[in-house]
Formats: sequence, C-alpha cells, structure tokens
Amino acid sequence: MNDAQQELDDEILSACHDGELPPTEVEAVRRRLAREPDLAERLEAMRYVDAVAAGALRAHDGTPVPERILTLLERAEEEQSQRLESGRVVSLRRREGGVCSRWSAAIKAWVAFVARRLRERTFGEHR
Amino acid sequence: MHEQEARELTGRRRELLDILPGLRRFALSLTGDTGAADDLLHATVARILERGLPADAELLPYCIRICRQLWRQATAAGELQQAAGSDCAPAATRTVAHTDGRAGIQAALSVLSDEQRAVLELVAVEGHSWRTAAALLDMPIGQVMNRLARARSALIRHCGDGAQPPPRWTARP
Repeated sequence: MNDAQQELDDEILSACHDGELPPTEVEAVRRRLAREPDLAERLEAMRYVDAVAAGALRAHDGTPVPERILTLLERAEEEQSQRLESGRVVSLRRREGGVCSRWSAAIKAWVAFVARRLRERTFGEHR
Repeated sequence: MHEQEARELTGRRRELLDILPGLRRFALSLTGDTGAADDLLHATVARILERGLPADAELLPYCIRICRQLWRQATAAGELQQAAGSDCAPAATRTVAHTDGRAGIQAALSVLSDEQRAVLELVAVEGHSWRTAAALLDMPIGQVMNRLARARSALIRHCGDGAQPPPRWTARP
C-alpha cells in the first residue's frame, strides 16, 4: 500500500473510531473491515494508541490542581468582591480599553516569568 | 446590580474551576511534562484574570486559545520551535523533558507535533466531537481529521517500533 492510500485509510479509520463517518459510508467500511484483516488490525491499533495516550494524559488526574492556581483565583474573586462592595464595579468580563484589575502589571510580570521558566525547563535554555 | 455582578463573578470562577482539570490535561498534552503543564496552567489562569473575558467569549475555547498562545510564546525562541504550520515535527527535533517516570508513553506522545497532541487530547481524551475540537482549536474540521489520523499513525509506528511490540496491540495494559 502506498503512503497516500495509507493516509486515506487512516483518515477513514479515525472517523470510524470516533463515530464521525457519514452514515452513507458506515456500511462500506464495515464490509472492508470484514474482508481486510490488516485494516481491522489497524483500527484495533488506533484504539490501543488512543488508550495509551489517554492513560498518559490522565495519569495525574488524581493529583490536585496546585494550590497556587486556586489561590490566584480566590484572590481575584476577593479583590473584585471588595471592588463591588466599595462601588467600584469591575467585572471579570473585559471592559473597553483592556485589563480588569490593578494588579495586572504584577500578573503580566508573573506570566513573563512563567513563560521564561517554561522555556528553561522544557528546552533546557538557561538565560 | 452589585449582587448580580457578584453572582456573575462567583459563577465565572466556578466555571473556571470546573474546566481546570481538562485544561490541565490539555496543557500536559502540549508540554509533555507535568511540572511544565502546571506552570502553563498557572500562566493561563493569570492571563485570563489579567485580561478578563471578552463579552462574547465562551470560557473553554477562550482558555484553550490563551493556553496555546502562551505555549507558543514559551517555545518561540530558537530552532527547537517547529516550523509554523508544520504538522509533522520529526521526533529527533523534539526535546520535551520527561520527568515523571512514564518515559515510554511520554516518548510516544513526544513524536507528535503540538497540534497533533492538542487534537488527540481533545478528541481521544476529552471525548469532544471533531466539530467541537475544530471550534476549540479554531481550525477547519478537515485539519482535525488529518491531524488525528497522522497522530494515530505516528503513535502506531512508534509503538510498533518498540523493543516489545504488543501482539495485536491488545496485550499491554
């Protein structure tokens, strides 16, 4: 089988696996799967690698979201609640002209810091 | 008025809390490293709080967009960034760190491009339809189909090239 045909088959099998095949094609694919063992095995392989990927990406579902992130959200809500109480209403929704809080500069600096740390940790760049 | 605003605030925070686990997995699909994923999640939340939500924005697509933007910024420097729009980064050019003891599985995922992993995460892990994944990633549905097929094909190739290929792919846990 050439690469183009393999790619086409993989797209069809992906659609089959995800339940995305157009109804008009389902029966034709079923017939092919019944008479082409290699194709059926390829579909099985797709199911397997999906399970592997899901296992890898769900491996840390049991660990709690880091406290620092929850704290960030709590602080944002507290701050905005205080604003509401003091009559300076600022919604989480974006307003004309940009950011919604007075600590935006601090967060901006923090975002830059995290982005830098991500670069360093992920790609071993130490600048 | 203030009560309504306060309710909206609390509701938005709850919405954000609800989607955090999925957003965390999405971040992990991009970084391949749990520590870096949590950093990316943190930066994403900070950026959302900093900028606020556009009035017409849906939360999940907006968060995913911010997360991807930050990841691109973080990986933008140097030759390690895969060519813009490229869908197939050769495995040898990717150096995503693996620090959690699941090197085999993570190595398999690291053969994929960021975009392939993002699509695979949304469809195969989160269970979104192709149409929803396309909307979340702001790409045509044909691209979702193509990237998924290529991602799965690359993973099959990678797993099949392993030292102990699983018999008919079903014997391994």
